[in-house]
Amino acid sequence: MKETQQPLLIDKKRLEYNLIHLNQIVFEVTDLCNLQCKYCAYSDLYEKCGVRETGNLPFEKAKLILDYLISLWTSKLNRNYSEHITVSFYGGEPLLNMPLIEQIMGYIKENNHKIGKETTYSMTTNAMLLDRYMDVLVENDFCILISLDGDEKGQSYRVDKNGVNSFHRVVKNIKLLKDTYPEYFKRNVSFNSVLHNRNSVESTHNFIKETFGKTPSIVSLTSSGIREESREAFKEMYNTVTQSLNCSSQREKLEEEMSVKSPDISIAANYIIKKSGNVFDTYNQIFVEPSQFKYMYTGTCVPFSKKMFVTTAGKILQCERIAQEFSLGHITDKVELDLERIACFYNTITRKFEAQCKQCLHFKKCGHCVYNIDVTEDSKCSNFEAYREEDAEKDICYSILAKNPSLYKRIIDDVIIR
Amino acid sequence: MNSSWFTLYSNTFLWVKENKGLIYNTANFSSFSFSLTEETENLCTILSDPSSLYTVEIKEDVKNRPEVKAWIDRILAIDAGMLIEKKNSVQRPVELLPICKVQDNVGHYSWLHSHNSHATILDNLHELYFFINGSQYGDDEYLCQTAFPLKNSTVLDFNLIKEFIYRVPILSIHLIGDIFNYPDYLNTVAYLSEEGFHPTIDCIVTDIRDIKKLKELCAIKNVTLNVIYPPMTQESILAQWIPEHAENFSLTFLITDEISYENIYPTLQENRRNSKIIPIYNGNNISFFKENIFLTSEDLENAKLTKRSIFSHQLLNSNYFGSLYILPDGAVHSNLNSPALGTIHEHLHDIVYKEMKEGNSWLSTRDSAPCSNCVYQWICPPPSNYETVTGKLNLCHLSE
Repeated sequence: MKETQQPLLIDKKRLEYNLIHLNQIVFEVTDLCNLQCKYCAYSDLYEKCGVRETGNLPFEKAKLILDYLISLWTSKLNRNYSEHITVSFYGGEPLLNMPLIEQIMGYIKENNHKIGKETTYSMTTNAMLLDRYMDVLVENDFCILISLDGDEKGQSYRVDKNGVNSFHRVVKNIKLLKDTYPEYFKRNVSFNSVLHNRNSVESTHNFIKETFGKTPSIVSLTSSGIREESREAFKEMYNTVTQSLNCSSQREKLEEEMSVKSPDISIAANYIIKKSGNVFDTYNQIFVEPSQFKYMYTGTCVPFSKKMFVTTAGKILQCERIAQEFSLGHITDKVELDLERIACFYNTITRKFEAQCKQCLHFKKCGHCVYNIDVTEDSKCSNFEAYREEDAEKDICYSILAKNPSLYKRIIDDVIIR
Repeated sequence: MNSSWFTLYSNTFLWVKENKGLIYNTANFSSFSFSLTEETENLCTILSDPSSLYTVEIKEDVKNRPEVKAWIDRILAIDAGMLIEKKNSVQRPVELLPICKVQDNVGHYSWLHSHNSHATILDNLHELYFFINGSQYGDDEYLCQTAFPLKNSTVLDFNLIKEFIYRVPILSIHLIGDIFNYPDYLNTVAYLSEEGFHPTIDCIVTDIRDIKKLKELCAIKNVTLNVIYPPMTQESILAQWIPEHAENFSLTFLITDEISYENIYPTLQENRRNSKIIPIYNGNNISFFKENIFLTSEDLENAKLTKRSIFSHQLLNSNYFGSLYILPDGAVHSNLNSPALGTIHEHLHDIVYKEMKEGNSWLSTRDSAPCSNCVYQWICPPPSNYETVTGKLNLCHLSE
């Protein structure tokens, strides 16, 4: 099946609209870290993906971007319409620069009457400094995502500068938070774990479930950008959630508890939601004739439709997961953001994949970001799958459902994948 | 005893109402209705449970009962399912009962609304119809059935329109009325065009009296003129001009009976590409509607519907979805037979949210009796203005 739809091209007006309705701004408050995790993107395992030497984000730059956004939000363009925004803090380890975080929150509160938006705060942290700053986090109702790889052995790649396992300090701090603020902990804290050769889905899931009553998201190590000389070491460390579950005697129980975080349910949910033809993202996908519907090439988000990321050096990106060479603008002594140029760049870079997208199984449902593809003249998207392979995906989904017939209804009722 | 797996394919719909059932295969548009027996009803009940994965185990003796065998054969004949012998070596077949889900549904918008987030709800808005003024040929009765100029002489201030549409994502805009009597109409239309709205002007053919003015209007980029011919309109000065400029024009013919159809037939033949016909109920022509509009079970079984079309019938009303109508007094409606949702002075976000949350147009479906008791409930097109003006909830011959 070949698609003939026209692409949805974006323009300055669209980006301006996204900025007015911005959902999230992420500040990289520092690129310093108090741990030296063995599998960190900045470790010897990976090709250098950027230099961590800027240190801290100056408050002046954070203030400039906030002023820029406030001027948009309070202009006639927004008709003073109140909305919600999440302000997130990222690192390095963000708690190493708590003074800046408090300064930014203070500035937002000071200007709240102008901002006119409900603000929530969020952060990803290694929890090493949680004991020192938890009162501030609770007071400001932060949503926090804690990186913890399970039990002591599992956490053993997450070491400090002296090579000492962070496990005891981290777990002590998390327990302190849980005991001091049990309701907050229940409501606002979640966990993320990296899978490797010193933990397993079973050990990690069970430890975090039993100790903190939470189900962690478990992910594999990033497998791209490995240094040639580190390939063997990486191979030794690497494990997948499926492999790990297959080795577990509690597989069924774990899958049940992990729900869509388990690989099988995730595969079935992805097929049902993205490929079965029964699930639509919006009413428009039902209302508008498919031939009239405009689709984007690749799964790259339209800039600022989800968030804005500001680095310690004042670079403005559309997401923290995109290499800094793709910055969309800069904060110098003012905010330099040329929306016309950004729209043009987005249209050009995504249309490079037009031919592949039109032949790809994932077209219209793609989640693959163009910035994760090595864009050269003959770039090939690593997510590309030809149409003919669709049956294989369907067969896998159907065999999962055959083993668990009630899963179809559960997925339809409870799972949302955007 | 041997048994078999009987499976319906994922593109097949099965509906059961009272003692009747309907199978509709969207892959090849084949269908048939059937009377339920105890056995077929049991099979349909199992198949309608999503956990069955559209598969039912049938024992040999049940399968060979004449009414079951005939039912299965008819399904196999239209390629709507499969029957395979149950063996240990064969995995139980799996297909997916067609259940529609919209991820960004009303519940999602309610959640966003409760968090003061409104950006995406406007994506559901596609068309705005502004009744800019009245026409001496206007008819307020027609308005309840189609976008037709009013008799009313109130003028909708263009500054209010500008404010209302300020910085909303691009959408289609209609200006309905006597355009040539609207203040500064050329600049109004030019402004909309420059803002990327592709305006359509809906006006009555008899309001077009000056070809020079018409040419000036049509010279504006991206403008379409929709010329409305009320029933029994005689030839106008447009007749010779339109064919040369067909790309700028669409024609809408209103008819009330066979005679009014015959009257427009020659003009229709010349402009078939850009024309549409709208039947108008005038209180005395129900027989014309029964003969030409009302559906029969044969019409419904012969309908060519995709799975998406049926889902559309189940979840939204394509007659109204995405459209708002703004009257000269500023009242905003999602359907001109329903109360106003708000006024032009309010924010579009709030009006669209109100329609999606509480309105009875965009998401109105055939979910009430008599349609909800009918096996063709979701094959049938969604409710329209005709149901309101005729006072009949179903425009079909099925429950007469």
